[in-house]
Amino acid sequence: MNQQVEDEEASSAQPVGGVRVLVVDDDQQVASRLRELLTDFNHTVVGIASNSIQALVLIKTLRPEVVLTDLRMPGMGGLQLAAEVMRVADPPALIVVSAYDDPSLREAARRAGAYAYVVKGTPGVQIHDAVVAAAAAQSAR
Amino acid sequence: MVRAAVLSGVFLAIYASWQLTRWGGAAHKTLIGDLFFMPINVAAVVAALLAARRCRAEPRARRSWQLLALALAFYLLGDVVQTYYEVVARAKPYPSLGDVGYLAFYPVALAALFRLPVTRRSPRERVTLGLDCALVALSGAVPIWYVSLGPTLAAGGQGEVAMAVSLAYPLGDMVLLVGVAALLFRGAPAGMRGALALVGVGLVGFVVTDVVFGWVTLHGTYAGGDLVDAGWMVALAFFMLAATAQPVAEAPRAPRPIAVSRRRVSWLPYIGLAANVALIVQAQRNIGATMLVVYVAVVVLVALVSVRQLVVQSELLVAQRALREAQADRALLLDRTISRGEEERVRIATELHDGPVQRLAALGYLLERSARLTRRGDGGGLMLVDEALGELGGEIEGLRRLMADLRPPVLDESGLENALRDHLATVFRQTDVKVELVGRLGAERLPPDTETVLYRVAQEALLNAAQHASAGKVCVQLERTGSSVVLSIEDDGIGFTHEQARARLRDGHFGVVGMRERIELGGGSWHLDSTPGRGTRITAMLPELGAAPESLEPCSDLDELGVSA
Repeated sequence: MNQQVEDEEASSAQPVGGVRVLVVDDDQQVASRLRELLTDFNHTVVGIASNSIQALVLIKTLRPEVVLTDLRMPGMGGLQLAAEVMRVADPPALIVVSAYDDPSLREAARRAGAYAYVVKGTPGVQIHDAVVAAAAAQSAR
Repeated sequence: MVRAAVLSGVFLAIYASWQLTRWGGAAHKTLIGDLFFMPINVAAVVAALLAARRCRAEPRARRSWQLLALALAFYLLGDVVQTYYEVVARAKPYPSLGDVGYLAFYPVALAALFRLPVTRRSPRERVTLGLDCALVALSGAVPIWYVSLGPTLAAGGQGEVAMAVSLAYPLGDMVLLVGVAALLFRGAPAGMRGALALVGVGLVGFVVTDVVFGWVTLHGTYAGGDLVDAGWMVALAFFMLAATAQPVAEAPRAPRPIAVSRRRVSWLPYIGLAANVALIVQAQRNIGATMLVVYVAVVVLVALVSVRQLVVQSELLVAQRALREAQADRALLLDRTISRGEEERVRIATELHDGPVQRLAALGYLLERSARLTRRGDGGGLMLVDEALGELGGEIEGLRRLMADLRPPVLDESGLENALRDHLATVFRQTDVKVELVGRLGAERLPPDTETVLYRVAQEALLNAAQHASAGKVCVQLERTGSSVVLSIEDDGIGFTHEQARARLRDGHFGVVGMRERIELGGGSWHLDSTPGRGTRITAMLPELGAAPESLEPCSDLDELGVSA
């Protein structure tokens, strides 16, 4: 689990839930399960994008606070999406949710501007914590 | 280079016209004859110095050209002194200080030749090189001895100094012959080959002229401007041309191993030997018929040995080329084996990423949700568990498929024939293609490696048939013949030409090559017969115990198609 997320979890006194999230994943089933999970934690999934291009359009129109994105997708991958998102005015915080647990990918994601890196299959509460912490960081900017 | 050639050509033409007509009068013959040497000699010195400058990047080549320039300068000194004695002092110029200049030419020129950059050699190659040089130098030295050195010694009648000088010239020629032999056998660096060939021609011309000169002085008298001068003149012109032919040298590269080639004139020692034996025959022609026959026989024998050496050398060249090609093929194959292995890993990793890992992650979220609902007392939680179980079953099935794809269990469990039957059914499941499998392998299983190789070959062939052949019928035959196994895959599809197959290979489709390689690596043989519109037949034979196969009969319904094996 991401160190940053752990730190935030330790001091999670913020109001729970209520974050506007965009989910980006080319796997429909994973995306809808993530939506269910986030909805269970009282977040609002404003949309689901199956690729990075669609995600960039939805970010501009739906203005989510947090973007949850897969890393490996056809066409533009998650790292490139992160870099593109950082160029948007008042960008949302970006969390990478990937099947790979690889230190250099974590580092690459951090450098691309991702707020957190969560490995797919970790307990849902960690994704929830990461979303809450990311939203707090985004609004503090 | 071209300009130098034209200029020296014009100069030599003028000299020839003088030699023929003696314009300028007989009284000035020596003066004119001697003066002709000056410009060409000066030009040769300057050209050699310029060549040395062009070799700044290659110190050995530079030093070599500098030494050659020095040798030519010594020769020029000899010319000047000789002209002074002959024309100004009206003295007999022999022996004189001029000879010091001329004689210095030989060792310095030899030093120049030995300074040439050469490739590094193994001790064995050095021994061969030494032997080759010795053979050529010695076989050249014998005619020099025969024509000038020996008779000069025998004639005597000169003062000690004159005798020493007279002997020094043929000895100098012998020394130069060693240099010529070294030039021939040591292998010139690629950039210097043209220049050194010209130097070689010049040196040979020089030695030959010296020998003629030796003969002339023994049997008559020599004066400056005699016809024999023309030989030296031409030799000097060649030295000058050689120097202008030296391109700007590159920095020395890593030494290359020496290859057998026609350039390494290893037949030359034999020719030298033959020439010497011929010399014996010439010298002994007044002996009796019996000995003459023996001598002639020896000449013929040496000639035959020379020819044999030529033949052996060309065989060696052919073998070397075949070896090089085989090595290149091997390197290519290894390269592709590695990259193909890596491609396969990428494919499996991608399949695992896109399949099981995503599915299991999604399943995890589902079960978590089910737990949350159940904890809240929501009955929907249990329904989610049922859903999860269904997904889990599907996931296990997916992993099983991936596993089977990597290594079909049926191949290990029940042999090649059954594995191929399953595979045929899978590949052509949703097509109208009629498939037939004729297995005559018997009850005994093949060795596992043989089964794997034949299975992979059949897989590739069937994939090709399914994707490209537009076949109505595909027939696979497996047969044990004696101690080998023969697999044939035949279709009645559109077939293809050799050019089409090459084009597919260029596009990176190695299927056909891969099949052949698998079989050949297993020690078997592989044949492909395909004609546009008349189907394709692939026959692969793998030895079980290394025996030759008997031929397979064509499939029942395909023989009228005329597909031949």
